Amino acid sequence: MLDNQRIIVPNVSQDPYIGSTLNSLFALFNQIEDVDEYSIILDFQQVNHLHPFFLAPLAIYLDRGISGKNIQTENINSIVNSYFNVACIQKPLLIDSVDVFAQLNKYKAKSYIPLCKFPHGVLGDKFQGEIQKVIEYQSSAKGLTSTFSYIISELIDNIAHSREKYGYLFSQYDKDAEMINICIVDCGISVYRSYFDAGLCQLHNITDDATALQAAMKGVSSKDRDPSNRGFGVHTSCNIVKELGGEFLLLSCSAYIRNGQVYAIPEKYRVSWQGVMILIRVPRNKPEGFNYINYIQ
Amino acid sequence: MEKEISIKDLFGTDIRTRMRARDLCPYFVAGMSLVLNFSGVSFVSRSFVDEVLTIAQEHADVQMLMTNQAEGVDSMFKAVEYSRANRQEIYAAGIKVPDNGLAF
Repeated sequence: MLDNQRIIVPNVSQDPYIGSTLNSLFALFNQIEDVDEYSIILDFQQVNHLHPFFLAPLAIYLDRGISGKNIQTENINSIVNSYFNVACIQKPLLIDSVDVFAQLNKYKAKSYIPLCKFPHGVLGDKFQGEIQKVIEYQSSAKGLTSTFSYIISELIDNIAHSREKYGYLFSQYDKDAEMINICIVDCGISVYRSYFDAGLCQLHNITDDATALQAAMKGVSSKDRDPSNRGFGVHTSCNIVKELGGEFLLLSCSAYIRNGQVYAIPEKYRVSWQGVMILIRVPRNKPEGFNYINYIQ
Repeated sequence: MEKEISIKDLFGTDIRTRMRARDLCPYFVAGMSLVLNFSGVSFVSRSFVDEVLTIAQEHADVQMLMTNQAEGVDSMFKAVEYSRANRQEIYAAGIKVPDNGLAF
């Protein structure tokens, strides 16, 4: 695969179980980070279609300069390049005022939204509402507005950290499967670091990324003032996604939650990705009688 | 003395983050009645509601009232109030390592 500083990007177009794309993505990150040279060419000659759960994190990795290297892209074919341009893959759409919202309307006719880099706070709240309208319109989702509002707001509120000004959001509707793929990323600090900074590690036996995610699933909040309250955002969101018939993955450094189960990533596969990445796959139709309020804890 | 504030005027129709609740703190003045008017608000997040209830607890000398809550807003307040009063222990399964020889 390696040819001096040139690295071939694989054509990862499927995600048969949620997060399986990350196997290829982490292998790519490892290749990038293992190369001694500072300047690298990412070669897209094999790429015809990339799954959003491979593409969005890759775009964010490049936008953030996470590898610390100078990375150029080459051999992007015209169709893929056109998609990259419209979907803002190589330059995320910065949500820096409400004026940008007008640009989102043109995506109603597409199956994807632009890769958005949004601020936390009042403008971020308004953005979530606006982009959610586009996502629902694309998929003709019915009766899921409040459920989507709950999942998206709760997860962003849980992973957003004051040290990080912006989060990222990308979504693509899979017409064949009638499923909506949503990727939410905050490049701030890990869940473990949040607990560490809040002085909660000893109290809750949190020793690493995996035990931190286990604590999150149990409802331990890094924002607790009164430990008897709060902290079920991740657990409840995961439950709601599962009950909708979807899939959920939350990655925080060297561990992740997939559909409620915590996994530790084997040492040899770990990369320098910090912060939190959430992948959600939800159907556009909710099951009969479903009401997200019934799952609130 | 009573003061009524329009939540929609302050935060809009969708209130999604815990921090918005903290913006209400200056309105909690000892000895006053504070009416939170939710007219026009269609969604409140669990985090927001939880924080409002925490602030109300911290300001026990303020009588907080709520009016004009849409069904979804009212349901969220009831669900969070119930959750806070009936804290459940959540079981989390043990930590696994992927058994497919991969990272994910």
